[in-house]
Amino acid sequence: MANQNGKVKDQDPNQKSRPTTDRVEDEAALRNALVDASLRVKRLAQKETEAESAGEEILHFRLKAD
Amino acid sequence: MTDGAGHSRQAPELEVRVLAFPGDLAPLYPRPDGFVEYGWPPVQIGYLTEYVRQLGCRTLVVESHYIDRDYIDDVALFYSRSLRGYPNYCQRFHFFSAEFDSVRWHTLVSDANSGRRQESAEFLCKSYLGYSVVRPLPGSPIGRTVLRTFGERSIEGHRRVFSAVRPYDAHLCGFELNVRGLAFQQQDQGVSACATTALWCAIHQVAPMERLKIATPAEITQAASRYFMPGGRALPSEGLTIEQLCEATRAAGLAPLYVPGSSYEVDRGQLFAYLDSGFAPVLALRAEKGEGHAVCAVGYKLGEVSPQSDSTLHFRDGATALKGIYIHDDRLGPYAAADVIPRTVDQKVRTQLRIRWPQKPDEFEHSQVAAIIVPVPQKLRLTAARMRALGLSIAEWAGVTFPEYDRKVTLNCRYRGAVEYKASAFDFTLTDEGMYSLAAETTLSRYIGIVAIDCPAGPLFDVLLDTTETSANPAVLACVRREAMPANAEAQFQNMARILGARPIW
Repeated sequence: MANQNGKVKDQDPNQKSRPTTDRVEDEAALRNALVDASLRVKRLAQKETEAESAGEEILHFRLKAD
Repeated sequence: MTDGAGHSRQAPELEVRVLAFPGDLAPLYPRPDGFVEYGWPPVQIGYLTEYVRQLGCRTLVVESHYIDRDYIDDVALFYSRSLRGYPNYCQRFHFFSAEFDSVRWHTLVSDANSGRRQESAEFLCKSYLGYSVVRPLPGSPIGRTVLRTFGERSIEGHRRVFSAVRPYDAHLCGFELNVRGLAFQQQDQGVSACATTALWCAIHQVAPMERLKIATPAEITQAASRYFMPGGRALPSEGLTIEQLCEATRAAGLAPLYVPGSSYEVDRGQLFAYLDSGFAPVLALRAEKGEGHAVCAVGYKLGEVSPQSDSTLHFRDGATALKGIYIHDDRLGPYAAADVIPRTVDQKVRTQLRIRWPQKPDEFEHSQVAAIIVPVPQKLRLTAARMRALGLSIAEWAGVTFPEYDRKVTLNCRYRGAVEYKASAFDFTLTDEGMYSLAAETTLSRYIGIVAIDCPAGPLFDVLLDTTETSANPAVLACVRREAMPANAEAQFQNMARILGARPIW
């Protein structure tokens, strides 16, 4: 359970047996990692937002099925 | 008593009949006189029969006189001016899984009248499957229909999620019955076409979120044709264009979020985000022969999240688990199953719906998703596309900075009500300080966007976005630690939140 010291309550027991990972805690390193990540997904992200401005021609597409 | 023209001036009588489920509902519907162009009974009645049979219907209670708000509006606008007189009332079928007859029904009413009202109500409520209004329109009798959904597991082992459903009350002879579903009705081809009914279904889901009046099909058709008449006259309805759908949505007090069909991956991601958020997207479909059709999506079918196909990336897209959707298709009925599949058209991978035809297991209809129109609350300005665009960067970042999850960090984007999110956070195992900070020190927009980063052990963290913004980056409000976050990652988490410009909630 949570306590006044801010400890996490009800920790997943599986987490304790997981090997400890060295954490990237340095803010500059984390910031660089985010910039790199953004570059890697840039094309995917563009595809998501480009779709919003496309397709004006189908606004007049009539929907009528009996 | 009659007036001078021989019309009855007496109040209509009500008869309530109790029938064993007949196995075929068609004989209970008014059959059109003379030659029936499309055959009888229509596919929708066969679908409804099969659907309630699979729900386990054993008993039918028929109300002989029911005033339906939607139908009477259709009468006022259209049918009252026809040569032949259309009644202004309907019948209503109530479906029950319990078996009882007329004698038992009378006993239930008598018991309720003798101080055992609770017992009678519980008996009926427990086995209530929903209702269907029967309009006195021989060609299109299925009016407002609200039915229970199927269970969580599909035959193929996929998980069914009916996200765009809500509770409905029905009143039968003084008993209040409840069913969770989303209203469906057949197009009548007089006042409404497929697009009208698809939008009507979607509005049924979203309008109550904003305490808005639910527009009737007649109101939708009138609003749609107020400024645009691309097909000539408004009535009889010759179908609506996407532009008209948007106008009718706006007139209903909601915002039409228009998403043109793009690629399979993009369409699937957005469809999943809106459905997972409890909205009911209207899908504009283009059949193989080119004609348009509209359906309303009400739920989805989930399989496993696919591994990342790009070897340079370190996360998985949760939307890859979307295998199919459940739609209100007025050519069939409520909750019809449709697969969401990729199909190459003109060298582009487009999204197709493969709709299964009832009682014909080998027969499918293929339609391309031309556009998705999502009626949403007006203040929800941040689109799923922009949320996902930011989410891709955050998920990739998390995939790199949590290498122990071996590229199994998963991205999901959804909307939630702020009140609902804060209430659910009591189960996030936050520290007392973290919970207090979220509950009492963090201002959230009425609807929040959530970039949810999960791992195989469960949720890792949520990035909360202000949906009243239009761009995702300045909309970041808070970063909330979730149950699967490693205990030794607090410093990393705090820094990640700071870099995103978010309040860290640990």
